[in-house]
Amino acid sequence: MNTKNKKMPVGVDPDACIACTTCTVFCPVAAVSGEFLGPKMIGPAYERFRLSGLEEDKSLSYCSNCKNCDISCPQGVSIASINMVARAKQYEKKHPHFLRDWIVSHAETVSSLMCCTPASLNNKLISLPLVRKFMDYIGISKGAPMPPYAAKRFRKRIKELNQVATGRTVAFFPGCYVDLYDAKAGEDLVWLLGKAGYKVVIPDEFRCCGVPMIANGFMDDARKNAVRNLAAMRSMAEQGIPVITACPSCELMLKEEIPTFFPELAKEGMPVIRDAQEFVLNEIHEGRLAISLKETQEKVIYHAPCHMRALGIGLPGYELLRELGVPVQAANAGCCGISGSYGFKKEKHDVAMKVGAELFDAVRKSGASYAATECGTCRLQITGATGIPSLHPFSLIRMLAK
Amino acid sequence: MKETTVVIIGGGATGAGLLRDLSMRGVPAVLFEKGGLCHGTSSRFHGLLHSGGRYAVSDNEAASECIRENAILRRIGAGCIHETEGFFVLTEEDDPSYVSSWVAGCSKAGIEAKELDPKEALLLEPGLSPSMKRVFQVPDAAVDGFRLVLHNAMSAERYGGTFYTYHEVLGILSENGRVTGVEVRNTHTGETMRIACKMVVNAAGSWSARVVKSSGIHLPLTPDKGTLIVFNRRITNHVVNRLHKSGDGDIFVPNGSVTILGTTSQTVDDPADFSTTTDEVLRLLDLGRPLFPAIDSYRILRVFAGTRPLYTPGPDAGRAASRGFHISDHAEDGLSGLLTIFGGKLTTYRLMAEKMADIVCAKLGVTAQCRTADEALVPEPEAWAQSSAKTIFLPQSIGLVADRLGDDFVSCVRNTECRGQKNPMVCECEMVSMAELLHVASQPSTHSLTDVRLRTRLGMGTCQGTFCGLRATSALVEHGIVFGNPLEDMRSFVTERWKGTRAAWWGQLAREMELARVMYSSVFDSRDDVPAVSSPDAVPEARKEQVSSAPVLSSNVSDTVVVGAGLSGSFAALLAAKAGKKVTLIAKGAGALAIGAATIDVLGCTGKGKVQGNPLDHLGDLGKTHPYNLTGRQTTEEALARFVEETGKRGWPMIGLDGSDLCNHLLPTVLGTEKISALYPASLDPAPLLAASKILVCGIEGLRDSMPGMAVHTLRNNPAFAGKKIAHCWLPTPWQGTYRVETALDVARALQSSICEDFMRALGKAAQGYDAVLLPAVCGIQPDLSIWSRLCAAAGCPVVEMTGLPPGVTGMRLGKLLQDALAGAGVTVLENTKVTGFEQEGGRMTALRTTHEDGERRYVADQFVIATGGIVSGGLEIHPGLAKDSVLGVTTALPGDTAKWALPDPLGPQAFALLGMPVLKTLEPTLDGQEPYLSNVRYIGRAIAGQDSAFERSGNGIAIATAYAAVMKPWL
Repeated sequence: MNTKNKKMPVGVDPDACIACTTCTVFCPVAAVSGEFLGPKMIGPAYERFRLSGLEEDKSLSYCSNCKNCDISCPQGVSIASINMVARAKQYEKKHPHFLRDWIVSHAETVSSLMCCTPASLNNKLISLPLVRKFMDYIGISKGAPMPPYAAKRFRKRIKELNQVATGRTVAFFPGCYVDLYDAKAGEDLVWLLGKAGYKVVIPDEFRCCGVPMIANGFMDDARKNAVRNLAAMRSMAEQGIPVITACPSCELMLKEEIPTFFPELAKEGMPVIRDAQEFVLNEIHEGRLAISLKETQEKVIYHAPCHMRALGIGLPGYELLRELGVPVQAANAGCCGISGSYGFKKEKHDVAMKVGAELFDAVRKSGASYAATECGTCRLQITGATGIPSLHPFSLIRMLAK
Repeated sequence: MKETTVVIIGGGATGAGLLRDLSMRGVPAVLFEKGGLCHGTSSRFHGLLHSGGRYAVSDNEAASECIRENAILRRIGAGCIHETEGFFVLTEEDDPSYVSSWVAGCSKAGIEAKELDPKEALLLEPGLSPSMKRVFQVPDAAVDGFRLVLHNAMSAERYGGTFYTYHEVLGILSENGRVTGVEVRNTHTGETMRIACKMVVNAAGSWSARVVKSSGIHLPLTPDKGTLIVFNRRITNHVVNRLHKSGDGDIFVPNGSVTILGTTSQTVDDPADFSTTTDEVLRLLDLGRPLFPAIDSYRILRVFAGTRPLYTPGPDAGRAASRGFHISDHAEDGLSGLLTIFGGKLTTYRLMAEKMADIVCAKLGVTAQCRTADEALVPEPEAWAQSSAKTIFLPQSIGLVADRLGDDFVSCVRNTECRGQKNPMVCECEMVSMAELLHVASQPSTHSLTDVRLRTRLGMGTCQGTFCGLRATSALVEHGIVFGNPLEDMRSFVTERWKGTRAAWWGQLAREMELARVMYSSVFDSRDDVPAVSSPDAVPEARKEQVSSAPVLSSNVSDTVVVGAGLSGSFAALLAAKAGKKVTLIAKGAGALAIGAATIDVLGCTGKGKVQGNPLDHLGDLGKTHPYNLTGRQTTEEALARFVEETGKRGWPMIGLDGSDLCNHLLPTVLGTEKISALYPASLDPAPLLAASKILVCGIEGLRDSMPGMAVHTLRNNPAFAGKKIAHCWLPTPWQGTYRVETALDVARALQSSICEDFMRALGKAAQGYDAVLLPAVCGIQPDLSIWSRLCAAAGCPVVEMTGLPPGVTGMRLGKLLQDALAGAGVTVLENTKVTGFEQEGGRMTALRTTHEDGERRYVADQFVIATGGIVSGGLEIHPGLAKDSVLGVTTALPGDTAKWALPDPLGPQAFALLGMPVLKTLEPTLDGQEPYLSNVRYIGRAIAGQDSAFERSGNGIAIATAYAAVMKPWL
């Protein structure tokens, strides 16, 4: 036994768990894989053993950080966060698939390394069989859909957009997905907020929110980005400029995860970031924004990203579509499975596809022409699995606008 | 008559240590213990292996004994000791001038005390007070007292020593002033026997005076009670002492998965006075707070007490009494051959045994020297056993198991038939697997689940035996290990676990134990003829502040806002939406449906025996303010009829009505016991069982939560099943998992998603010749009867599902049905959202508020329905001396001593259960019982005061009746 003195981990408190097993019922990974101990067992139950020096369980890597455990927990235990801290500690000792995990969690840095070549060339490069073979070798699934780079990063593109100065400014935290891949969604946000009289800016200091880093055990990197992002957000706050994001995962990180993982950064209070969808909805309610849409027979199916649900503010993107009269229907079919970088991993790709099966089925059966969802990788996953185009609600609104 | 040379009385550390010492010296010896091993003080302490630092100033000789023995025990008892090291912390409240004398004392005693920078200490132990002044590190360690005693006894056995547990010494036999033997009684069988011996050593600790009293001898011994708190997890990895003159509540010891804080000191008359009080708990927390400022946020697991056998020849008692040990030779009292050893500490048990054995050997003329310090208690398990263990246990748990089993580890590895998937975890909180359980349970010295617990830690973790008690009981019966009446044994096991929680009944402990009670009530028979209990004296008070000043980000407007996504909240939201209202449902978690059985228990128990026939005929036995007596019989009937209609419309009808009347039925559980319920889905219908003459109970391989042998055992003893042929079998599992332990939910999902031909074929073959088949709840996860129908067809006879442990597959089906219904009815569901405040105007609620990182959100409506549940869900929070409603913030003062309302029998009615929001007949909350507090708010379900739904088996019935009344009644 002889557990020698160890530094007490700054972990997440498991004490609130009453072992009721609700989380185990709602865990999408446990539902499709018997290789995962499940949230209660690997989270609060195992944490008691971690604290007493027991070696890590082999199934910890199966947690996708989708947070369905936290959403379902009646006791408010941050189960997924317990797992993320434990994983970071495990990877400190030995990090299997280090290169792969670094690549999938540092999309921003990877893209900077490829900045001398144009996006179109990079996109061709990524799809080359030899490159896919190499990616497969380091552990990136051949079956996973690769998001193509946008022609220009959105943080650069936004400067070219012709925004009318109205005196009202809002700062946009784009997140890697909009910044690198779905710049169109960013443009649609600028268009929409422009109609409400806002000029949208992206502070240069904004970096990846750090969610993928946390999910892959790179706590230090996530912390560094958090420091930068918080500083930039505080500076915006001082100027009286509201900060918004359209990505639920970034939003979760910048609201809840930073205080959980790096409490010292939140000691003097967190700067406020708001949900872009809710922000737009409010603009409509306050009478500052009026949008009218074309009549359409094309149906839309809305998928609620797990991290959107975890935010606990309802589904403002869905409400927005409903209020504007889009013929939209909620899928109510659970997690899409991809969970950011999770579904890209060779050994997790099957799990991710099985998790998403119910949603894919619901999307296909809905007869919808489009899927709408706020989360970038959810869009990638839904389109990859069903072939149905998936859009951010803002993009859909712009497409349907008169 | 049997014969030996030395008889030792008492199976604590001293007795077992002495047995080992004498056996190693070749002196024949037999030990008798009236309870299990370590029944007394050796397991009832904080588990500190002293460095001696605590006695450095007050008793330097004891301190130097401690440090010497500490070093020896680390060497010989590795399996019992965690080398945590310890801190002595000078807090702001301690006298700094004490430090120099303490440092000098440590140095004199040979205790290495290294001073640390408090900042460094804070990095090592972030829970410590940042304002601590000085910190010293000393070689304290944690020791598992039970294991230490067991390993000593095992070592003694290897050298020919013998011990008998559950053997009480009735008297010491003597002739002409010389000991000739002892008379003992087997406390299980009542048989008595006499053992001849030359010498008797009384090592009965706090009971020593009683042992020699019948021989006319008086011992200067005072039992001194110490109360301790067990926290749910390790809050520190070091032992932490306060650096001051030894006092109460100043030691924290990390012990295995938990931390123990101790202790108090109080002179008592009865050595078995293990009583604990809320005052003691609160005092210990107060005393511990200077070391760990966040102590109130640490979850208490339980509270226990032990008695120190203090040697008190003079006037000093309690803290002032010596911690040294004492040996009395009763030749001085006229009885030669009888010696008593008492006092001392666990840390010096070996030395005490050595000194005693030296005296015994001198009297016997034995010259062999003590060797107990030279040899490990338990030899290191051989390499083959270590590697073979990897095919049996979770690899990372092997160390834990090996330490717990001691000598038995090798035989367990060699003999177990439970490998891989056949060795599921039985106790998840403490990692006790089937192999370990069965091995320990089959030892001749194991007589109960409680004995198993002491050796394995089964039931000593977070859930306090709630899940594993049921699993272990079934598994033992399945494997032919039967402790008397297994259900009675389980009952006493869970009651003992319950007992330790009563003095600190608040916070998460309260939630956990109320969940336990709900679970017990679904598998144990109801208590008959119990006196009614009344609610703790309590007057509700409205809270002062209601709304925070944070910015309001958004206002959402609905007709009706419902808070809570359990059965009552979901049903109310559905009814309101179907009545044309715009409904928003705010849910903090997923509600309890997913872990429940989804049977509609209307009323099963009123304390006057099982409620038979129409449960609504018995409403008169309930209190006037009971929710049923507020809604009234007619509304309850309408509500249940509407529920039957709504489930029926969606293809998963609730059945069980006798014509149009309600009627109680007995549904089989996985234990073979009966759950009283009035409405249930067709797959749970017990009617085919009553009609059958041959019943087959099926287990599914790998499914540890449902052991068919257990169900058969119970059913065969049930008069209602007399004359029926009842057999059991195991079916292959259709689930593909290889690592996680299988649950009924996994099997249900497998059956839902594929054809599972092998399973169906096996079921058909096994069911041949039977009239009914009992299965765990595995008939799919969707609220329809398709999988059940397929299984019935495959079996060729009716299949009946048994309800069991969470996850509740049948409950999930109902949850899914309601969730789909809510989506269909256009209800907006807000997940992961906790209500934090409300707004009111003119006696009406105008909005509910939720608080988020970015500000507040308002939920405006005409009507508010509160379905936040009771203690388990946190709808009603229990704090020391206070109960608080989570939405309105209405508080109710509670009597300070929690044991006054958390009563001894977890299966009987409980006073705390009657707590909740007092409501009027209109279900509006009221503070004075006359006027509504807020006139457009209705409380429903478990949130309402005056019900003990776990005891009454009435939870889901009340949920439906009150949800319906709140939404549909004209007074709205």
